[in-house]
Amino acid sequence: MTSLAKVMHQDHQHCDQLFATAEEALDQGQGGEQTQRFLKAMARHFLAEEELLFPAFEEFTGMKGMGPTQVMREEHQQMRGLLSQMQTALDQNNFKAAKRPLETLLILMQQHNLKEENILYPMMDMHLGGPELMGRLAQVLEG
Amino acid sequence: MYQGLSLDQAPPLSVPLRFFLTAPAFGVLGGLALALGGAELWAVPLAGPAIAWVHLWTLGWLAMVMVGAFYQMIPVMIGGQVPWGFLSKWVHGLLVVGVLGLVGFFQFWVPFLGWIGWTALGVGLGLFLAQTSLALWRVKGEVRPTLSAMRLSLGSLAIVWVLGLARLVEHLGGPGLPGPIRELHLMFGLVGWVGLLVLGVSFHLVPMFYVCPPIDSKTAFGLIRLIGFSLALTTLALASGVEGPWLLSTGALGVVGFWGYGIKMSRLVRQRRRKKIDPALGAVRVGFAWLSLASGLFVAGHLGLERALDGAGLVMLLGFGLSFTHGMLYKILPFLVWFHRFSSQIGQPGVPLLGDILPQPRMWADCALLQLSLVLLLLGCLFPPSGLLETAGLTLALGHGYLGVVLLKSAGTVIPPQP
Repeated sequence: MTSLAKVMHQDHQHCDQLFATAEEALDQGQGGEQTQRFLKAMARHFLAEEELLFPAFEEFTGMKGMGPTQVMREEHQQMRGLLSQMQTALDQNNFKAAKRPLETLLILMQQHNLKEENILYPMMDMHLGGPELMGRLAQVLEG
Repeated sequence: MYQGLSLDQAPPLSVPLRFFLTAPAFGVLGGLALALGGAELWAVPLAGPAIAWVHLWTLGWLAMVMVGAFYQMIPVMIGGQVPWGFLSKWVHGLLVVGVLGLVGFFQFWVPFLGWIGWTALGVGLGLFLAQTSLALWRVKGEVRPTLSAMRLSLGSLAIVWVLGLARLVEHLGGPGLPGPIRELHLMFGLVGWVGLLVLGVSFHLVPMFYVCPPIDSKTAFGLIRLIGFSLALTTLALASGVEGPWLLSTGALGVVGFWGYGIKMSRLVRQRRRKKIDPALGAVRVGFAWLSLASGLFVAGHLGLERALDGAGLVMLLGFGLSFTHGMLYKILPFLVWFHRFSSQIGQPGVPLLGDILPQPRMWADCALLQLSLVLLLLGCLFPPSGLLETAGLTLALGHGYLGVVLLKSAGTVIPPQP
């Protein structure tokens, strides 16, 4: 069976690809559509973690409101702040303003992804899984 | 062991910042010394002014930036804890005094300054080595290429430190040392301390910043071992007085290691998802090109080309070392300022982002000035009486002065008042 870590790693790569495409398009003074795709993918990724994986992990380990998932939630909030700035700029068709947070966002995303891929997901794979959870995860990520 | 960036363990902003903001001042001094000394500086490679000038760059610029980066990288990249954090202030102060004392001694031949330099560098770098060695020693868990490269780099610095202090005593009238101390000092400084640190750091940071595949551990360890092996064998060869093809072959192993590194990293960077070339990537790419030239000159020098070995050292030190560290500062400094000062206020109006703290046009301007200086310096070495060396000195001083102002402005970024 496909591991949870593998599915989430692939989704990180998918988000990275959409990030790069959006940045390239915004650099050319366009990219509303590509950026919206990136923002939606990020929102789905956060949703899958915060509504599905983190609660399941917290329930199993008893680490609710603390531990690695809490740190990840806080970092999601930081990233949401930047994503929301991009969304506001896109709503005003201001592509120049939409690309401003990208450099900062990239570093936050990369260090966050490494933490999840190296620590959290392997821990989750040890305790969670099963066809039901994996099926629901696929549904959320595919939107 | 944690393998990302443990930003929650980062030292206070002032720790790396004081090193990063001091280094450009030594770049200005290095540039001015070249502008004033010109070709005279090169006339006798082992004369006092030449030694003073080289150490303005190796200690004043490179060591200053790398020591600051080490304090930041050990907790953040490796997950280690640097003990007695307050000592970083002393290390910084002693490094500044030590470089000025050493350079003053070699430039004006005042022994008192030499002893000040010897004491300050002995204690300052000794404290740094003790702190960081303990931190790297204590790191538990899987040994990754970056950790391995940092350990070897620090070991090389310890050798450079001991040999350098011994050489200084000799210059101050102490007993002469047997063997090829100068060659070993130079080799462990450029190849071990600078080269291996650059390798280790880039293995970790390049995939993160440019969204490219990471280097596989087997290749990374292979490259580090090859360079480490070359350092050990060349030391044996030099110590036993071996010359000619044997010495060339031991050094060539290291050259193969650096070429392999350049080819591998270039391939990975070409596979990056993020196609944009920013000033840091630009500087690092040019740094790779200088590294290739340094390797070529090293081989040519051993095949008999006059002064090519000195050229290899110079290109490695200034072309590779300066390009890479400038590029590293473009990335690290604005992120540290943003992380420590603004990351908790994201979403509030007017909170600066990385591009506001250090705008790209300023980085490109610095990168262009640096590369112009390096090309002028290279041409000046080839055509000494042309005035090109003096011009290179002026542009180096101007460029580092400009970088100093840019970095100070970045470090002082605050949230602008809102209407």
